[in-house]
Amino acid sequence: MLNVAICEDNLELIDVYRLIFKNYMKDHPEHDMRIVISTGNPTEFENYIKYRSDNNDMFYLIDIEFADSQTKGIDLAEEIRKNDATAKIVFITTHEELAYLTFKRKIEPLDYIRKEDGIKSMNESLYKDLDLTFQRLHELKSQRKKMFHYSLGSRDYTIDVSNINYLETSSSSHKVFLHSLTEITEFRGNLNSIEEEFTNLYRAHKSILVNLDNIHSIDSLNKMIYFNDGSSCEVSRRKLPGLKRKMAQ
Amino acid sequence: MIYLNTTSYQIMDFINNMLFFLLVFIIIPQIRLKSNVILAIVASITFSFIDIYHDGMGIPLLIISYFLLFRHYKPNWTNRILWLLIGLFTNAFSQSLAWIISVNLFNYHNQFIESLACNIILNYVFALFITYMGIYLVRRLSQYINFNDPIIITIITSSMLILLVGFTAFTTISRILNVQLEYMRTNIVLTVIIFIFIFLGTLYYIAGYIKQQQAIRELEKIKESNLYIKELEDNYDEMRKFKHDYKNLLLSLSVLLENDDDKYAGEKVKDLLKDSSMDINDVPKLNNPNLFKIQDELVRGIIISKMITAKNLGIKVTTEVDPNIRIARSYSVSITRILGILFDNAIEACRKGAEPTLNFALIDDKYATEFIVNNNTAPNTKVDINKIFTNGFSTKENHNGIGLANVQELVNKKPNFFLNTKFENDEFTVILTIEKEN
Repeated sequence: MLNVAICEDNLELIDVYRLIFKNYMKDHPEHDMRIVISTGNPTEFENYIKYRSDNNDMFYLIDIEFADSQTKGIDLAEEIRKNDATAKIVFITTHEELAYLTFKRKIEPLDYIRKEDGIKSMNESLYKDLDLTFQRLHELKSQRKKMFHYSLGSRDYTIDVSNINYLETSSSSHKVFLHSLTEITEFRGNLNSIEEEFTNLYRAHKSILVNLDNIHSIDSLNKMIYFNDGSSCEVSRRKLPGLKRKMAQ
Repeated sequence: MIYLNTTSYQIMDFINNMLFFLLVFIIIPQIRLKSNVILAIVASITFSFIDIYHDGMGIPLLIISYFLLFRHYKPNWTNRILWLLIGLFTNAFSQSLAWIISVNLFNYHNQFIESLACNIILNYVFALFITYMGIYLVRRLSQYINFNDPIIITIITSSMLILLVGFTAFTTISRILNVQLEYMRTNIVLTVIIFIFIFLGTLYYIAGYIKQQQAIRELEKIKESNLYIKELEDNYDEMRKFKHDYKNLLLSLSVLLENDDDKYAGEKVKDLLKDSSMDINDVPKLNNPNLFKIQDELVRGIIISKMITAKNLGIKVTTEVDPNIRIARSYSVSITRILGILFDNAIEACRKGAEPTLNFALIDDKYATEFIVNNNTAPNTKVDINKIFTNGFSTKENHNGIGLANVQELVNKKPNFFLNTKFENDEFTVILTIEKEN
């Protein structure tokens, strides 16, 4: 069951959104969803977030600015995120109000819907967002992807392990560098505990953990590992035979 | 003193004089003129004669003729003296060295000619070797040291002078005591040791001087950017006033319109249009008040100045800054350097696209401060994220390409700085997270 919650101070727009959701339900009878709250009052909405009793997946549609209230959309979203990391949040906004990077950073919203783009575009966006939501929920339930977690500052990060090429430590600091398909990131930690947790990560070097699933080839002569995306890292001579054995399995 | 017959002494003297001029010509290519070469040969011959009758007179004459070489090319006097000192020292030093070796190899009385030839050849070999080594060294060092700086030249000249005086004093004393041969070896070893000390000392001194110069330049830069920021702040105030005035005018217009005084209102609008020299579209979009409230001048300065640079290049710029950001003093220089490089890279990278966009966010909470620099790239740009950190790689050709490697180095130096680099959907994002100390 997917719960939809809407907070928008323009009551006519609330009706528009409700209609869009109703139509989506009609078009997709296979999906189990309902609108649990639609309000123009942020305080009422906040109360719902705080005291909701069920454990259903959530889809929030939140306006960014409320004319009569000090509370802003981002505050509501932060409140949601405190307890629910997987809730899908879509912001409704006008162009000027959008602090894109900050929102992305603090909330990780699913999408932004711009009021000035018109009802038709809104309709399309919401359909797309709902499709994506169901798709993601399905993925989450069916395969239970192995996720890698780390935290930095006040945030927790998750990365799909299948995207990781390798992790390495620097000798000078207690930082771990993570090399994935799309990013390089660093955090505090050590390789030993990571190695224990993930079986498909192999210690190819004193300071390197490689993801066996992403290895393309091994250059024994130069003691290098090449990954599917073309990046590479070192492997120590001592670990080379073990790595080859693992790869042959 | 070892006996040499007069003719051979004269020949040696001539050849040594010639060596001095040869060295000078090698060091200063600008004075390699035909007339100067003739002057050098004539002077060498004449002085070798004079030296026979008045021992020691040759050297002052040599110095005088050296200065006569600068008839057309007129460098600084410090430079001329420095080159003279180098020429004299190299000559004297290699002479001593050659002499000591030839004396040890051959018996002076039985193998006089061989000894002399050996002396001369070694003398030339050593002198040329030292000179070319020196030139090579200077070329290598000129990457780091500006050898045209008068103060640096003076430092080198004075250390050279000390060296030469020391060497001459040693030689003279041993000559007076008539133990020249015995002391020669000690003399050479001592000179080499002193040279190494003076060389290192001079290098340290110069390094200190260069650092000081850099500090002065930095300070000036800061002063400049502060001025710039002040100007921007004024600009911003003015804009706010303008906004305020505008609202007042609109208000008065609405009153006029309410009174149905259409004609008067129309005139008023015309006046307004004529009056407002300020085009609203032209107002800089840097009107993010939080940006001006960042509590660190350096960091604030780099953000504002790079944003202005980007704007002037036609890049669409947005800034999101949490209110009342405070940055620890000890981080401000590192952050400024990192942001400078990140902005430069972002500006370069996004300009290749059709709609260049540069976004900056500064997010601050209880546990960490985050600097986010985000730019778009031309569609389908391929960036190998794992390679951009290695020296020399950059998506832009002929670019210095050391940018991100430098950033990583700066980040590595701080245990609570963390860098995240991401390239996804034609967007390049770098996030610098600074964990707060508890």
